[in-house]
Amino acid sequence: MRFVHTSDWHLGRSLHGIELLGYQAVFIDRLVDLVRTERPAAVLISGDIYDRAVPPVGAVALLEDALARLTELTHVIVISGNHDSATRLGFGAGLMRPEVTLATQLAGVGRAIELADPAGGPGALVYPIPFLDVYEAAPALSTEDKALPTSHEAVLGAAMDRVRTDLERRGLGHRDPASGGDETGWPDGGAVRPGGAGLGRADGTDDPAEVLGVDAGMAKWVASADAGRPSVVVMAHAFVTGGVGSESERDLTVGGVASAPAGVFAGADYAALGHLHGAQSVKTASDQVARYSGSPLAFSFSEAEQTKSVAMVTLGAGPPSVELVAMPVPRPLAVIAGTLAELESAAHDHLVDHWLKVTVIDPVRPDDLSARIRRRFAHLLLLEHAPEGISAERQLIKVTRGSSPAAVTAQFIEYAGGRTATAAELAEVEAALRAVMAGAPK
Amino acid sequence: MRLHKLTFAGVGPFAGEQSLDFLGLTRSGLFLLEGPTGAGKSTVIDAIVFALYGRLADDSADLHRLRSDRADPSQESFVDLTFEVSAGVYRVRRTPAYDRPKVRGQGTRPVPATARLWRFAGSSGAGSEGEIIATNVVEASREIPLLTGLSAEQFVQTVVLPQGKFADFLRAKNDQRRGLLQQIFGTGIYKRLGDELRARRLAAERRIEQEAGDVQRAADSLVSEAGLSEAAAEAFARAAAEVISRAERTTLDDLASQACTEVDHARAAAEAAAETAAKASQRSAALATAAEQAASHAATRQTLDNRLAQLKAEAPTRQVQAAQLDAARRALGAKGLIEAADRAGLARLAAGQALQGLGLPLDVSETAPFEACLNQAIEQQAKAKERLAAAKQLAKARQAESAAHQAKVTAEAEVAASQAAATALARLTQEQPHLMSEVARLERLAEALKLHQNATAQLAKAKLTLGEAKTAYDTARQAETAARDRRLAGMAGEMAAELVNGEPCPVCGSPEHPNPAGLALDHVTLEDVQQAEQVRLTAESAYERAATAHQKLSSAVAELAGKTAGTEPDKVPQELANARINLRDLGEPEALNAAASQANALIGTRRAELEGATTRLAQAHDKAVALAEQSSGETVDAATSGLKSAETETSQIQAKLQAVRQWIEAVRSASQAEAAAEEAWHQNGFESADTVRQALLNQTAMDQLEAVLTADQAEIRSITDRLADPALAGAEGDPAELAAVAKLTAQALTAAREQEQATAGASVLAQAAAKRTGRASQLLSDCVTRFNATKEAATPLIRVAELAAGGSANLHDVDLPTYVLMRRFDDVVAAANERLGPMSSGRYQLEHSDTKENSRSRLTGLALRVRDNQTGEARAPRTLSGGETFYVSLALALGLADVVTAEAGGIALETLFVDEGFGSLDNEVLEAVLSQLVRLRDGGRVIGLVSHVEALKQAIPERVEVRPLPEGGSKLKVRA
Repeated sequence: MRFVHTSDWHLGRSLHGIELLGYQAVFIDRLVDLVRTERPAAVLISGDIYDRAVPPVGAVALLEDALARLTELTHVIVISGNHDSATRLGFGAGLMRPEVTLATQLAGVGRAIELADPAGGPGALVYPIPFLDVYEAAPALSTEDKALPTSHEAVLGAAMDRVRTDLERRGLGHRDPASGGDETGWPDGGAVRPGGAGLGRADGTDDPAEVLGVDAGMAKWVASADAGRPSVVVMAHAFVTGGVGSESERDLTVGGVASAPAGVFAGADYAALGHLHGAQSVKTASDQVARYSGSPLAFSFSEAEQTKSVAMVTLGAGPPSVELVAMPVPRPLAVIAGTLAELESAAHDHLVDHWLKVTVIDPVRPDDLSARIRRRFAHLLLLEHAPEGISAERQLIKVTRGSSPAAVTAQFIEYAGGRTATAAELAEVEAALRAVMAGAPK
Repeated sequence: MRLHKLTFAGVGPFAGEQSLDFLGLTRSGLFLLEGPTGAGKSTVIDAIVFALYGRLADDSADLHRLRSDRADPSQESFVDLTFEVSAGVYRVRRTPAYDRPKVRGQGTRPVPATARLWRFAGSSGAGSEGEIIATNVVEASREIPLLTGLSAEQFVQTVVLPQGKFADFLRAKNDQRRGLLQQIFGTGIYKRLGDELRARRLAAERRIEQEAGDVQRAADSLVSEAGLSEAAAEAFARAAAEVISRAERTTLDDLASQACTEVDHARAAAEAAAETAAKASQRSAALATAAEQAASHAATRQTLDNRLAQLKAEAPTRQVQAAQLDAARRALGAKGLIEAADRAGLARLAAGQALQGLGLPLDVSETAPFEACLNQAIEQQAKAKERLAAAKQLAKARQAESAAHQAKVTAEAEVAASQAAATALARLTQEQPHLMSEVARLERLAEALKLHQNATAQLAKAKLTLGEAKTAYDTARQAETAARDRRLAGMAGEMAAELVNGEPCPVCGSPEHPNPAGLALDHVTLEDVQQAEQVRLTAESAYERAATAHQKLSSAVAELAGKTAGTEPDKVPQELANARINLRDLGEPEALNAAASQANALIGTRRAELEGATTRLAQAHDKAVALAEQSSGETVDAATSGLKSAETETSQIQAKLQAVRQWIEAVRSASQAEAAAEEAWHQNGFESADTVRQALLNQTAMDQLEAVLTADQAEIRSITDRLADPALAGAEGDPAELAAVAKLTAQALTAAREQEQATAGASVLAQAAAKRTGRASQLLSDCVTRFNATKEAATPLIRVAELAAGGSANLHDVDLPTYVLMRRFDDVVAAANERLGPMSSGRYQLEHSDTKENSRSRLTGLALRVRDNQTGEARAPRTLSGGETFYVSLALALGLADVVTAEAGGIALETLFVDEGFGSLDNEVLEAVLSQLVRLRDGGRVIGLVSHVEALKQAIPERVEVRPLPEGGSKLKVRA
C-alpha cells in the first residue's frame, strides 16, 4: 500500500516580504491532483501546517479547502508541529469526518489509526505523535517511580513506549529480523518474541537464513509474510540527529539539546518526520526508514539548491521504499555574489526572474548601489555589501582583550598625528604608562 | 554580572513570597517571562533593579508602586537578590519605605527603607553565611555601583532594557553615551595616561623655559662682567634670542669670545701700571726714613738736658719732706695707748652722771648699806603676797553660797509646775468618755439620716410601682369582665355550634335546627375567658405585692423620720467630723493614764531635788562664815595693791646698788689707762699728747711722700745714663730745621704710597674681571648646550602629549580616551551589525560617525547613524519606526554585551533583560529576531525576555509564568 508523506507547509508564511500563500495554494492543487491520480491510502502531514500559532485567515481557509478536497479522495492524518498551536489546530478533531485525523494531543499518543490496504494486504498502523512541549509532556509521561528528564529524547522515547505497548497489545512484536532477538528499546523488559511459527530461538541464533538455510532476502520475505503483519508507521515532528537543517527552521533547543537520536523510533517500519525543510533521510540502525519529507516550498535562501518534493512511500514486504515527487516551484531562488560590474554584466541574465540574494563585493560601496541592483534584478530580495578582504580601517588593532595600552596609544598617535610614532615618542608613552600603573592601581 | 537567585514578597501584585532561580534558567540561556497584561512581569524586573539600586527601572515611576497593595499591612515587603560579579558573590536585601498603620490610634506611620549587603566567600551563595558589608541604605547604595561597575542609569541601558526605554542608548547624546561607554569599558587608564603626559609636558616646558632663562641670564652676566656698552648688550640679547628660538649659537659664541679677549687686554695693562708705581714708592720710603731719624735724635737730646736741670732745682723741697715722714712714723707707735686712755675717761664720766641721776653723791665707795636695804624690801614683798591669797579665798566661798541659794529656788518652781501638769491630765481623762459617747450619737444620727433618704426614694418608687400594678389590675379585671360578657353574649352561637341535626337542642329541645346562631366574629371562647382570668389574677397578686411593699416602706420612712426629727441634716456631717477630731486629739485612754502616772512620778522626783538643794545651801553658808572669821577682812583689791608697792620698792633699791658698783669700777680703770699713755709718748720723744697728735699722718699721705722721694732719685739716674749714649752725644743741628726736612720727605712718601695702592687695586680688579668674564663665558656656553639638549629631548614628549590632548596638531580633533572609546565603539557597532543584518534582512547597518553633535563640542566620535541599504542614505536613529527602533536597540545592546564580555578590564554583562517591545514587530521580523536571540543560548549568558506575544511562547520553552490569582494578586511559576 502506498501513502503520501509531506510536512512543513507553513501556510501563511512570507519569504523576505513576499507572501507565499498563493504559491502554497498552487502546491495544494498539485497535491490534490497527485492524490487523485495515485490514490494512496493516506496522506500524512507531519506537522507545521501553519506558520504561526494564530494563523492568518487566508491560511485557515486554504487548509480547510485542502482538507475538504483531500478527504474526498483519501484519508488524511495531520500532526501539529512546533509552529502550530496544538489546541487550535486540533479544534473539532472529534467532530471531523472519519477521513480526517487531527492528532494534536498527548492523550492520543499510542492509539493507532488502522489503514486498510485497498489491495488487500495487511495494511498499516499509523501512530501519530504530535510535537510535544517538553516541559508539559515530561511530567505527564513520568511514572511514579521514574521522573522523566526534560529533553526531547526522553519525551519522544516515552511516547514511543506507548506506541510499542500498543503494538504488544495487538500481538505485534518487535519486527526486526536483521538484528535478531536483541532487546533494543523495550523498557518494559520481557523478551516478547515475535509470534511466528518456527522462528523461535533454538540454540541462541535467530537468523532466519541460518535457521531455514535460505538467503537473506528470501528469509525476510518469509518473515514478513508471517502472520500478515501490518506495517507500522510513526509520525513525528522533531530534529533527529543526523539531519541537516536550513536557515528557516525555528530552534527547538530545550535544556541545551535540540535533537533526539534516531533510535528513539525503534519498532516502527517507517518514521514520517517533519520539521527540517530539506527533504532527506536519516540514518537509522536498522532497516527502518526515517525520512523528512521537507517543505513543499523554499523558505530561505539556504534552500535554494534543494528540490522540493513530497514522498510517495510504498509499504509492503521488506523495508518501505520511497519515491520523491517534485512539487511546483513558484519562482526559483538563487544566491549570487560579485562586483557591481560583474553583476551588471550579461553573465547573470538568466537569473533576472529568480528571487535573488545578492552580495556585492566591491571594496568601496558604490553609489546608488541599491537602486542599480534593483533595476538590474527585479526580484531582488536581499542585498548586502561585503567588501572583499579587509578594509584599511579594519587593519587597526581591535581593542579587545589583552591589547596593551602602549600599542593602542601608538595606534592613536598614528591616527591623530598622521605618521607612525618614533621610538622616542614610544619611549615617552611607555614611561608615562609606567608612572600611571605604579601610581594608581585600579 | 550574573544573577543567581531572586526572592521577593509583597512587591507589586505579588502578595506572597516568590522565588526565581536564575542559575537553573542559565542552562537554557534564554527564558521568557510571560503573562497577561498587568500580571506583574515588569515587576520582576523592577524588583531586580530595586534590589541593586533602590529605584525602579523607570526612574520617573513612583517608588511607592513597589509595595504591594495586597500585602498585609503588618507584613513587610522585601527583595532579596544574590548576584555574582568579578569581585565575588554578593547578596542584597532591601525593603522599601511604606506607611504602616499605627498599632494604636488612627493614621499611618512611615517606615523607612532598609538595605543589607552580604559577601560570600565561596563561589555559591547557598548555605554559607556571608559577611555583612553594609547595613543601611546609604552604605549599600554606595557599595553596589562599585561592585557592579554600573550606575543605576547605566544599568538600565545595558543589562535591563526596560519597557519603553530600550532606545535610550541608541538615541543618547554623545556625552551620555561616552559616559556609559567609559564606565563599561574602563578606559580610565587612557585618561590617566593623557593626564600624565600632560603633566610631563608641562614639566618639560617649564624646564625648557628655565634653561632659556638661564641662557639669557648667563648672557646678561657676561655682558655686565665684561662691562660692555649698551649696543653690545643689545647685540648679546639678540644673539641669545636667536639661540632660544632657532638653536643658532655661532653669533653668541663669537660675541662671547670677543668680550673675553677685550677684558684680558685690560687686565694686562692694569698689572703693568701697578708694578711701576710700586717701585717709585719704595725709593721714596728710603729717603723719608733717613731724614726722620736725624730730626728725632736732635730733639731728644735737647729734651733730656732740660729735664736734668729742673730736677736739680727741686732738691731742698725734697729734704723737708723726708723729715716729715720720719716724725709721722714715730708718732704712730704711741697712738694706741693714748686712745685707750681717752676711752676710759669717757666711761668714768658716764658712770658719774648715772649716779647723780639716782640722787647719790659722787663720793660713795661702799656697797654694804645698799645691800641691807635690799634684803628688807624683799621680805616685805613676800608678806604682801600671802595676804592677797587669803582675800581671794574668801571671795570664792561667798560666791558658792549665793549659787546654792539660786538652785534651791529653781527646784521649788519645778515642783509646782509638775503638780499643775498632773492636775490637767486628770481632768482630760475624765472628759474622754463624754467625747466618745458624743461621737457615737452623731454617727447614729448620720446613719439614720441616710437610711431615711434611701427609704424615701424607695417609697416613691414603690408608689409608682403600686400605681402601675393597680392600673394593670384594673385593666385585667375589666378585660376579664368584658370577656365574660361577650362570651355570654355569644353563648348562643357557641351552643349552636354544638348542635347536631337530629339531636335535641339543649335550650329548646328541638331536634331540628333550622337557623342556628352563628358565631360572632369576635366570639370569645372559654379558653379566652380563662386566659383573661389568669391575667387578672396575676395582676391582682402583683398589685397586692406592690401594696404590701409600699406599706412597709412608708412605715419605715415614718420611723426614720421620727428618729431624725429636729436635726439639721446638713450640719450633722460637720459636727461628726469635729467630734471625731476632738476625740482623736485626746488620745487613747491608756496613753492618758500612763501620762498621769508619769506626771505624778515627776512630782516626787522634783521634791527630792529640792531637798538636796536646800542642804547644799546650808553647807556653803557655813563655809563662807568660817573663812570670814579667819581673814583680816581685807579685800582682794587692797591686797593686790599692797603687793605691787612692795615689789616697786625692791626694784628701786636694786638699781641704786648697781649704779654704785659701776662708778667705783670706772674710776679705777681710767686712772690706769692714763698712766700708761703718758709713759708711751715720752719714749717716742714727744712732750705731750698734743704734739703726738700733730705729727700723725694717715697711711696714704705717708705712702705718697715715700713714692715721690723714690721717683725723683730714679729719674735723675736714668737721664744721666741716656745722655751718655753715643748716638745722642753726636747729634747736632737744629731740631726744628731737621724736622721740617723730615716732614717734606714724609709727604712725598705718602703720595708715592697712594699711587702704588691705587694701581695695585686696579690691577686686582682687572684680574678678577677677566676671571669672571672667562667663567661667565663658559657658563653661557654650557647653558646653551644644555638648553639645546633639553629642547631636543622634550620634543617627542611634547608632541605626544599634544596629540593625546587633542590639540591643534591632532588631525582628527580626537583626544586619546575618545579615540579608544571610538575604537571600542567601532567594535560594538560591528558586533551589533552582525546581528542587525539578519534581523533587518540586510536592510539596516549601524554606523559610527565622526560628525559633530553641535558646533560647540570639539571632541566627538561617538555619534550613531543608521544606514538604510535600500536607499543608500544614512539616517539618524530617531527616524526609525517603533519596531525598527526596537530591534536596532536590541542588536546594539547585544553587541555591547558581546564586546564588553570580551574586554578584560570591562564588566562582564552576562545577564540581559528585555522588557516588551516584541509586540511592535511583524511576524517575519519577529522570526528573524528570535533566530538571533536563540543563538545566544550557547554564549553562557542568560537572556530574559518579557513579552505577551504568542509566537515567543511557542518558540521559547523555558518560561517564568506570571499568573493572576482569582482572589487578586499574582504568582510566579518557573517552567524550566
